[in-house]
Amino acid sequence: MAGLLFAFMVLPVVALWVTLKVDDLLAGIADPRVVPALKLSLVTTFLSLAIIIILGTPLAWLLAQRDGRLTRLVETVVRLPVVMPPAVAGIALLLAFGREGIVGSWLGRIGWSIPFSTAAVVMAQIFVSAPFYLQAAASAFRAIDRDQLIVATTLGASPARVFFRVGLPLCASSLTAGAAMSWARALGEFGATLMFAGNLSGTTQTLTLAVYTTFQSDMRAAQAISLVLVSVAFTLLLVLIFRARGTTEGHP
Amino acid sequence: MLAVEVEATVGGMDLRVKLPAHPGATVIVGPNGAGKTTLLKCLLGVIPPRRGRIELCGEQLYCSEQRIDVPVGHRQLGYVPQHGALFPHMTVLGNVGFGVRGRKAARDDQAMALLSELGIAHLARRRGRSLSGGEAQRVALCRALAIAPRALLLDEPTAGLDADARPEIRRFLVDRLAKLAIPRVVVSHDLEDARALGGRVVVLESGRVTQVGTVADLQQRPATPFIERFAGTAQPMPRP
Repeated sequence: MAGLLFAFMVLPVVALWVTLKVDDLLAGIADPRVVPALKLSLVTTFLSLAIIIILGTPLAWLLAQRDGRLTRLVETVVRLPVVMPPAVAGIALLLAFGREGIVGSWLGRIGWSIPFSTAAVVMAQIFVSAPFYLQAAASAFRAIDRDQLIVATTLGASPARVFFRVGLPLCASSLTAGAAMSWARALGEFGATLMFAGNLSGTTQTLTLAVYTTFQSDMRAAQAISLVLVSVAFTLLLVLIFRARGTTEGHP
Repeated sequence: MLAVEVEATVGGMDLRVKLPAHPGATVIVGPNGAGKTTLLKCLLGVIPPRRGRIELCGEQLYCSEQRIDVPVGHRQLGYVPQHGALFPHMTVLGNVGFGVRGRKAARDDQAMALLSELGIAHLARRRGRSLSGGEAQRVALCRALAIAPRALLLDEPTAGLDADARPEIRRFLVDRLAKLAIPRVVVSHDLEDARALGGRVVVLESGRVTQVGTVADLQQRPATPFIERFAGTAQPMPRP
């Protein structure tokens, strides 16, 4: 009984690897859609991750310092995308930033159009994956011993110095783990991207969308692209996990 | 000289404390939840009082009437929290040098000199997280002294140490604190701390001062049943 769920979860992963012949794999990888999609996926997910870290870390720090009603409200709002179905997220993004959207119609007047562009891919990824980072960062910051921060302040450290010299290093491994989860979610993004950014090869067709597109004509090619996708994801996750383990060495 | 008169409300607890100016050591004792740590945090400037006045050596750190509230980092108070709260990712040298201004080499030199003075130079390269409770307390005191504080605030310096380390740290503190010409405020659960550190003992119960005096005063004329129990036994107060 205990192993049933484990077996159920492992089997599809195994199937993904063992059911493909090497020739099919090579043929699949040679599909003209693969390279642009891989490039686009890497560029957009790293861009969205960078934006999430740069804007999200101060936000999480702020949320962790405070404990009021507004803080809880903000925390709930930024957690919403986790429970929002990706397709709904896509609609929501269109209503906000689409040509007829609240902000989009204004942007249209100055000649900017976001939907069906690479920017839209990045925005969709940020929207759905930021909560994973924010939550990890906020709870890590909250777990810091208040006294350490107070001492740093009594020693004359500015808020920035307290953050960079004490808060950030103490939470480095949790932040890395949060970033990894967030990045993995962005890489797997499908629904919101399809609705908001479309499926244009080279501009908005990420690896997941390439899998979907190929799947409609050629199952083997779709499987080969899937393998590329999970290989990239597993490799980067492993690197992140090992680096995180390196920095936490010696923690009690 | 440290003169304090503060009113503060924190988490439903109402603190009203008036302590006349006193140049030396003040040991604050009292049951859990009496407001001892809250009082320390008011002095530090971390918790804003509702009203009152805090005066250190003729300078107002806080005064509700004159709207003076010196920021935490400018009060120049040495703070040794419970269990030391060292920065675990930094070396002992890094911890002690954290509050020192100037270039890295100069900071290290000054930190090293202070560590030697306190007889713990051998810990300099250790990480904060690798120290024992007693070692952490000494380093925390050293770190607080590094900013040349105008007053020193210690929160339960002997709490959480094992029975062997406690008298040792107490001796260390008595030894070091006696050399300082600045006001010292020590929060404690332990009558032995109060006895060893000398000076005046302030008893805080439910946010109010119930008695001020020496340990002998407390023993001979206990003002409340708590003080009678507390001063009657030389044993540390049991923690609930």
